[in-house]
Amino acid sequence: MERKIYLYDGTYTGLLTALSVIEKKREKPGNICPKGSYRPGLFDKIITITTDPAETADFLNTLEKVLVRRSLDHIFRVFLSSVQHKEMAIYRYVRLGFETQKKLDYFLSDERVKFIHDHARKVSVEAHRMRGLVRFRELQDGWLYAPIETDHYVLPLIIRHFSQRLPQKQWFIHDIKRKKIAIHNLTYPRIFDVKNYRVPELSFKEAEHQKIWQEYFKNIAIKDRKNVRLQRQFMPKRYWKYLTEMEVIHNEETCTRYHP
Amino acid sequence: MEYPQEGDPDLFQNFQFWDRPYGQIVSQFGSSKTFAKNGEGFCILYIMNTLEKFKILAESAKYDVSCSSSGAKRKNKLGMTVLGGICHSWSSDGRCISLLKILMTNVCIYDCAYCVNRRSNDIPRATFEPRELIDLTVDFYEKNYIEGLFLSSAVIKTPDYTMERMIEIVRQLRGRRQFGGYIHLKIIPGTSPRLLEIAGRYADRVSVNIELPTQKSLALLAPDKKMPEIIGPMKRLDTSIRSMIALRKKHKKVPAYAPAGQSTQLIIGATPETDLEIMGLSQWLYQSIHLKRVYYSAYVPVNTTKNLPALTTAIPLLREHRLYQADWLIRFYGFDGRELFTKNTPHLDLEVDPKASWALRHPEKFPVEINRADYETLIRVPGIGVQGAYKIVLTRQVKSLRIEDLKKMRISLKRAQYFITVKGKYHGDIPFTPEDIRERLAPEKRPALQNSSPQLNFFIQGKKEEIASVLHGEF
Repeated sequence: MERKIYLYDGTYTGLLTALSVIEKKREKPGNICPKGSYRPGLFDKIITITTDPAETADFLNTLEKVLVRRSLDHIFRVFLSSVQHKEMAIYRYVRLGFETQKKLDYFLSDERVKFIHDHARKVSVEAHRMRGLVRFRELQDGWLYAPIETDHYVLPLIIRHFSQRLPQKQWFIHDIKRKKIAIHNLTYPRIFDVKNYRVPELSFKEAEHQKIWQEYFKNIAIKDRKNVRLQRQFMPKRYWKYLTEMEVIHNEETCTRYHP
Repeated sequence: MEYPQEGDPDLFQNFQFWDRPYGQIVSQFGSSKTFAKNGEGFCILYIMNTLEKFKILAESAKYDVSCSSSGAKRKNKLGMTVLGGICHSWSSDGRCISLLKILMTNVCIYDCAYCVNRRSNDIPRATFEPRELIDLTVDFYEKNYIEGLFLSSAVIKTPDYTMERMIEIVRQLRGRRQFGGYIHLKIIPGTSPRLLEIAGRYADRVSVNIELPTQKSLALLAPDKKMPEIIGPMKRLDTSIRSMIALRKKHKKVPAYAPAGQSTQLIIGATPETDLEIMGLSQWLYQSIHLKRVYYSAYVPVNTTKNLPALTTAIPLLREHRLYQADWLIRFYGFDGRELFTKNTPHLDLEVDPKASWALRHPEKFPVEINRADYETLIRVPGIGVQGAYKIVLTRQVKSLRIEDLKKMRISLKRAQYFITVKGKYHGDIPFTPEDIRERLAPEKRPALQNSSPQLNFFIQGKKEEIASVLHGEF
């Protein structure tokens, strides 16, 4: 049995080109993979997709006619997720979409729709969370710098928010896991790849302001109502590393773990 | 040195000592010492750095519950507000931090028995200079620590005097700093109409705290405050908000006037009011003054007075949680406050939630058929919420639902199973008798509920809806 494996370049445009090609051929793919993460199998027949912006635009137009805006947003969000086999899930969702058209998102109990909704939701929730949990630090040259480490690639979903929030500031957000950096230089934000980035010196005032914020954070809690479990539920520990107010606690815990 | 005179324009900027009821020395190095308790007009110049002031004034502000940053859309050169609001952090009591919640001053002329900042309490006092507070707000906002400012204050001299100073801070933020973040401005009871009019122009949300639900309790614990002084400003603000909304519909350029509306706060458990009285008041506030939120704050004993619960009294967290549930039923589930109580029970049931309690009192309305019941009926089923009902109504358009479908749609059947039929079949594990079901729903099997998790449940419920609304806005 031969399996047809479609390889695309890992971009959203690439994935849409692949879907467009598959849709034209009208045959079921064995798998759709980004080039980097494909492991060859014995009976695999490899078809490499060349990303074609024109074809993608055509395909997107068709999708926009067939589906509602919200379904397209779901697809993009799942693409940003780090879940395994998301490409095939998107393919199945789109396939079902061509059958059901605008009513696609009504099929909540269908596995294909459920998968997309669940993972789109996860990405949206993390993006929303990061809009609050990003912490900028002021550098000596006045730029604002924020490192983040997220489960999913939410950077594209949050930069518009920050460029509206701080339009007249120079800032950049660094996705450490994915080695991406979003830079806003007084105009609009753009995302770049970055290999090694060493954080420059923080500004003179920064330490003082961090201290005031940490004090505020400590004092605003009502001790009689202490509920750390609830705190962790909203602000899971994996985000603590770059949170100014939790840094102290995070570092203390790491220290005691390694040097008891 | 020359002592400044009252009326001197720089007076407030540089010195705050004249309005301090008790003398206090704070050394330059930060240690403070209160030394005179009843000295009228006793004052000594003191120097206090921003960090110290910050500690004192945040400490004093924390008993205000409200923290939402939702309901307004605004954009400026520095910052903008998002309709759904954003939480930036969560403190160790699990409450979210969205706004920089702080008092302008904790020097107070009032002596309300329940309050930490009352005149007769011997605590360190501090006052912010407008510039200090504005700089901090802007700095914190830029670093994405906060979504905006929640400015409250104790009362110095007169309500108007205090309010004028608070408005000055907010005016400078909006004007000179072009601040587009969220501003929640507390209104001091008894503020004159002239200042109310100005306050709404700069704030996104305004709030007057009622604190105690009846005039009787107010007279007992806060003798300086009067009910008309609290309700009066609320009504006046409501009139302004309504008229500005109407005007904005006609002319696009009319500036927003308190676009996120009004809220208030009630203290639970300090006075003997019943839940019926409290919910009655809430419903009246929602219906006639169009409040956006009423917050309930379980009383944390901070003072000892003969009229108050002792310091050792447990905080009525569970009761607070039930009141929030009832509040949600009124606002989002189409319930009338009177439906939640009966003649003999003026308090909410602590064992089961108010919706289940209502359902068990009305067995004739259940079970409902999932495939046929309309949205209004579905949201009244215990265990099915706004989201669940919405999902059911949506999916029903394309297929008829089976019990497996409900499970796949993540609709929890734990409580709902006793109140629904699916394709005519009842799926509960015990027959439909209110007494037995009540047994199943009561919390004996969930011992954790008594301690901390009522809070937990409430926050999940509240948050979910908030996040959901954000998600809906986004899509």
